[in-house]
Amino acid sequence: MRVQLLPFGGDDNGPERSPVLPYCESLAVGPYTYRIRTTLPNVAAGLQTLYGDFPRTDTAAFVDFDIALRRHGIFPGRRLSRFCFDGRDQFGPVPVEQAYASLEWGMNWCVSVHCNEYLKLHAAVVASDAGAIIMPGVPGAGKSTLCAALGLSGWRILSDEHALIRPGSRQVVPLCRPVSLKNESIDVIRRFSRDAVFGPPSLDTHKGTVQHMKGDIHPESHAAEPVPIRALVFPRFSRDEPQRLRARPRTVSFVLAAYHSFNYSLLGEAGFRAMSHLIEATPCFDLVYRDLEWAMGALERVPASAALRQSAEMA
Amino acid sequence: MYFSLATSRPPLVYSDPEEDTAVCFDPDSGDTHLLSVFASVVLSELGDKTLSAADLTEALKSRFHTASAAEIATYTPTLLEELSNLGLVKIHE
Amino acid sequence: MSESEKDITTQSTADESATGQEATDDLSTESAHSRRRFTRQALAGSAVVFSLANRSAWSQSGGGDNCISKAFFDSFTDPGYVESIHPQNQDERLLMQEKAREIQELTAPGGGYELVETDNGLYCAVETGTTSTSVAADSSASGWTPPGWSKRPDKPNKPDKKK
Repeated sequence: MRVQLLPFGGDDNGPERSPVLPYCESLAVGPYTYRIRTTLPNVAAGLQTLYGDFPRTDTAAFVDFDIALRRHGIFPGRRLSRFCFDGRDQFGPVPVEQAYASLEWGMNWCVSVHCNEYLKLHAAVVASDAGAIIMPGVPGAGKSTLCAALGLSGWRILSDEHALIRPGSRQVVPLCRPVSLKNESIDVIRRFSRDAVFGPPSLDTHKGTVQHMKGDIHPESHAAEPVPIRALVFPRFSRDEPQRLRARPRTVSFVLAAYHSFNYSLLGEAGFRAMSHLIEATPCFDLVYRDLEWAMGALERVPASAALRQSAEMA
Repeated sequence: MYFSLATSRPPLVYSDPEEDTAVCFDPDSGDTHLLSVFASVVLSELGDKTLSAADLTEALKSRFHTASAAEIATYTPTLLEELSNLGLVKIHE
Repeated sequence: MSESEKDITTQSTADESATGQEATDDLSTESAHSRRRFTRQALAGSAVVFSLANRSAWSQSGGGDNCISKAFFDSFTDPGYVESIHPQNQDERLLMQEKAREIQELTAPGGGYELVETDNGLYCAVETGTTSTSVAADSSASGWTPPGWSKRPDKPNKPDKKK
């Protein structure tokens, strides 16, 4: 059952609605099922806003990641929460005001440390009718901001964090979740589109202010079929450099992508072969941008991979 | 002085004919290196053989016919030492 | 790259940034006809452009991949960083910059790592002190920890309370 709820928070996102507590849902997120339980109002409100359209799985279905966000400690003055995975406190207590961010980071962690049936890149992934573009990069490279803007402009957000590639394939498995934005990027996206729906802000985290934007805004957001990969683009936001989209040598891109991978080394020889198979047929680019609209236009112009073109010709 | 591969199996190499670097995977250590294409050719020439620097220079001259023999002969010892430092090539005195 | 990919060059000279600088698309790479020059470059530079250590092994032994030249890192983090003084090979420079950015991110306050200087002129990012331990073995093999998060050390079992 899908439940459409009003956006979180007042302002231009409409009136706030009290969350239903306790929150307990089993959500289908890409190929995985998360069971999420919480009694924290801010977390429940965020879930209802940002995951309200996610497919629910049967309560008897297998759960890949069993997560609970709970209040920590017995003293009323200590407003702390903790993220529990399979019943174990994983990361230590954090202020309740940051609990929603801790949930999203914890959900990222679940995929990052498991799911080694895929070659996993630390990347944002977006798709148009021409195929998927994988955007690896360190935090702060601007890939999430670009991902959010593209999602608000008709592109499909496949993931803000993980590119899942089955070894031997040149397709990426969708794993759509909210887009994590930080500090100035939050205002950039608010100004970019009034249609952006946000969850609760987490203030004073080690990364500053973190807020998540609803990611499943494309009609095909929850389609499960893997998407052919069109290109690998390494984005970087820079106020000082000339904007450019430039082809990058495949061998250099190979090593960069491996560097940005969660499990390239863990997979050993299989990881090397999977990356080779991917890179040999995927054009790779370096994208330096200052202006979002320019960057989005540049990505529209990225040529499709030879494999994609061949399959299009055969179709 | 003679040289052979130091790895238990030949390293895996990914290369593109248009580029001057190649990616090399060391099957023993699990390390991945971005090497000059020259270095990757040295590794493929060694294969399961033990070769002298002169043997390698001759083999490389035929592969890099646009570079002079003197350039290759000058560069090869340094290259082999670097590959030895990575654990990819073994030096036999 | 295929011929069609090499030949695609999109010029967007009409797209100017706010500062008036031209923005460019350059989707072509050097073509094969420069093989003589490219071969000489292969001879002139180092045989090893970049090494990516096995992170599974690194996370168990505590050393390796998260190290970088001290000189490079200091200059990279200097507000007056001058790109031209560093590795002239563009590929190597790009890779070193990526690594420097990641180490900078890891060792930022709350990142869970600290910068340690070694005797041989390197900075290495190592997990912070005894208050945090590496994330579970399979996750440390992934080479990634959620920023600001470290797994809690296992607590000894407390005796059952008498009812």
